[in-house]
Amino acid sequence: MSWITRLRPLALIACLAFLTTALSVGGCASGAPKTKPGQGAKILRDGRITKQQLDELSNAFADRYFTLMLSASERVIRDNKDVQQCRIMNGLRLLGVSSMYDIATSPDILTQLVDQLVVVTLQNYFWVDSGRSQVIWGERAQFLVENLRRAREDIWAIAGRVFTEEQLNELDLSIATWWSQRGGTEFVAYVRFSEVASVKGEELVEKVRDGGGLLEPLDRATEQVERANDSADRAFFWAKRLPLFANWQFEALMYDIMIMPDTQRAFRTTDGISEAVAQVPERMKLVVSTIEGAQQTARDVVDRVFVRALVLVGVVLAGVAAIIFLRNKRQA
Amino acid sequence: MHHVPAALLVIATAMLALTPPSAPPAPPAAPAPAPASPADTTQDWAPSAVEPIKGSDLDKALRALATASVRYAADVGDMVVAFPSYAMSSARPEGRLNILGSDTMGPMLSSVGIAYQRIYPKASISVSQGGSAVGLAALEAGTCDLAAVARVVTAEEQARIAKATKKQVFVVPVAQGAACIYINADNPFRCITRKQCNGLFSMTHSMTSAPILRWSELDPASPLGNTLPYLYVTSADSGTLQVFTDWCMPGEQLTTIGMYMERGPSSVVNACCAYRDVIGISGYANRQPRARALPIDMEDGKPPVEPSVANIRSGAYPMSRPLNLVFLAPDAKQIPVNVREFLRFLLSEDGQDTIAAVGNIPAEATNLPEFLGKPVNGIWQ
Repeated sequence: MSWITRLRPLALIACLAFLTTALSVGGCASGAPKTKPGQGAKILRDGRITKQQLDELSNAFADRYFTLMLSASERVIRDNKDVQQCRIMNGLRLLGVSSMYDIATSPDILTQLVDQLVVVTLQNYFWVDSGRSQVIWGERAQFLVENLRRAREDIWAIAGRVFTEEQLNELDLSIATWWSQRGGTEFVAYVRFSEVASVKGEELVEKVRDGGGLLEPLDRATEQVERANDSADRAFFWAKRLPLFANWQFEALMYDIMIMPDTQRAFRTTDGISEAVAQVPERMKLVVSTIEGAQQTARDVVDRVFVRALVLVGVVLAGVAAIIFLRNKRQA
Repeated sequence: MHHVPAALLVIATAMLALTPPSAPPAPPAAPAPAPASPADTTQDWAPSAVEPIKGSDLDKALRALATASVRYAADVGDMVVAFPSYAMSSARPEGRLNILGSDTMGPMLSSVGIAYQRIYPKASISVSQGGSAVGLAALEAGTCDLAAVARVVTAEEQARIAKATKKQVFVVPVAQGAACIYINADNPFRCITRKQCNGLFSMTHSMTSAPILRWSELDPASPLGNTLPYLYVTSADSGTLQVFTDWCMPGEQLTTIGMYMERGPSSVVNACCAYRDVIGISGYANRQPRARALPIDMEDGKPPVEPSVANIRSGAYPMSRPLNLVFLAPDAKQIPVNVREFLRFLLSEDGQDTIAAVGNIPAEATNLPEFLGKPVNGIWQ
């Protein structure tokens, strides 16, 4: 394990270097702030939210989702000796959170929102409703399923600020219909709205983009330019969170190694050696007692042989004495 | 000599990089619980209530989860094959058919619509949801072609719509369902009575002397003790909620204590799957492995009635209901072709198979509406 612990600081240093580079690049690219002070808090007179507000909500949700997943995964992984359980949990948080940041850093804010909506809702179908979490993690899953549900409540609340009631029903139906036909889809973190939505769903988003919802109309003429300007900010948003993913990725690699058959065999061998070492004192006692027993047995055998030899010698001597006595008597 | 400090610095940096960290990084603080969510019940529950499954059994258990819907479709297979087959119509229906109404029926109708459009590419089935009451109102206003209503359409409602539109109202049961009372699968609470539902959900609780505000009042042995049972329902326009309130609190208002209005029936069941202290009202088709539909204790000395396929079809389960499509036409001979063909497809083996595949109970094959014509040799023609 020593090489692993030595690699960790190196990985951190590499990440810090990348972060510093990203900071400087982001700073150069973004230049002066694009929005005037206070513009982020602007609320349109008709109750609609602005593009910038939605962008902030989407990023905030990505961070909130990360916190929920982190706390839930810690509950599952902490003091858990089952490598398989830890591996699946680490995979879930790695895919889920990276997908969420991937969405949050994508260029189109409306697509961001509906993609987040799709991923979180599908994750609830897959990990909460099906009972899969309890099958894998047992009681440890409870905090995870509650947190996934909270994420679902949060993202639908955000969607409620952008879409009308009818539009929300439309989105809900699109997701439910898609899931009812593809219930076994495992990698729900990578499903996007474009895959889930029918033509009607796509039309709905376009309608909202044009002001047919609760979001201010997006100016299509300037949208491409703004997207290009935002890309540096989004790269910075991603870069700030990169060390975390590096760490989880590293853990994923570790779990993958640990779960391999060869590694398992090595663990079993190590376990066998450990057990053997632990049994040495007992075995030593057994050996000593065995030797003592053998010595005693040997002594007993010798004793018995000696007695028998003694008796035999006595008998022989007695016979010889008797023969001599009889010969002397005959001669006399 | 000037190189010595630099060399020392390099050595120190290298040592720092190669030295294992003295302590693992502290994990970030856990987030504060969301204020809008029910209490975190993780700590209150008996530890190790649910055991994980290990080894090769885990793969088997996960496969079993994935094939649960397939098993259900096989269970209701006999009901499905009792329906006539569907043969493509020479009328070639085309154009858009707008269906609006029940949230429970939304995914079912969308799935059938997708299958129907494969046969008739020029036809388009557009399904929107918002509740049974919304569907009926839209039908009356002429803004949809078919209303999806997940409850009985009363004679008064039919008369009112007929009077307003000067057309005949046709009600076609296309599947069967039930309003179910869901709790978390780990909750040991066994069954519920009508009175208990009244005490939980009614503001005026006419059947109980006081409102029920604790799990211990429902079941003294409940591990949730004095925790408030949080109530999850769909919107007031929902047919499911109306079936439930008609059964246990007719004419009474819903309580506001611990009440959550959810967007759709699947969200209600999701809350029951996630939180252990929740009671939700949703459709039979929305059932999930982690949510348990409670049997109803009829207080007649008999065993509680399970919300099973047999009990729902026989009507023994008290909140059984038909899932209807309602439309208007001048008379039975002037039903639009696209409406007639879609209904025939729905009431065919193909349509009912799709209905069963998304968790619903097929309709009665012996009760096909006369205005759709008679199947010839078991085929809609």
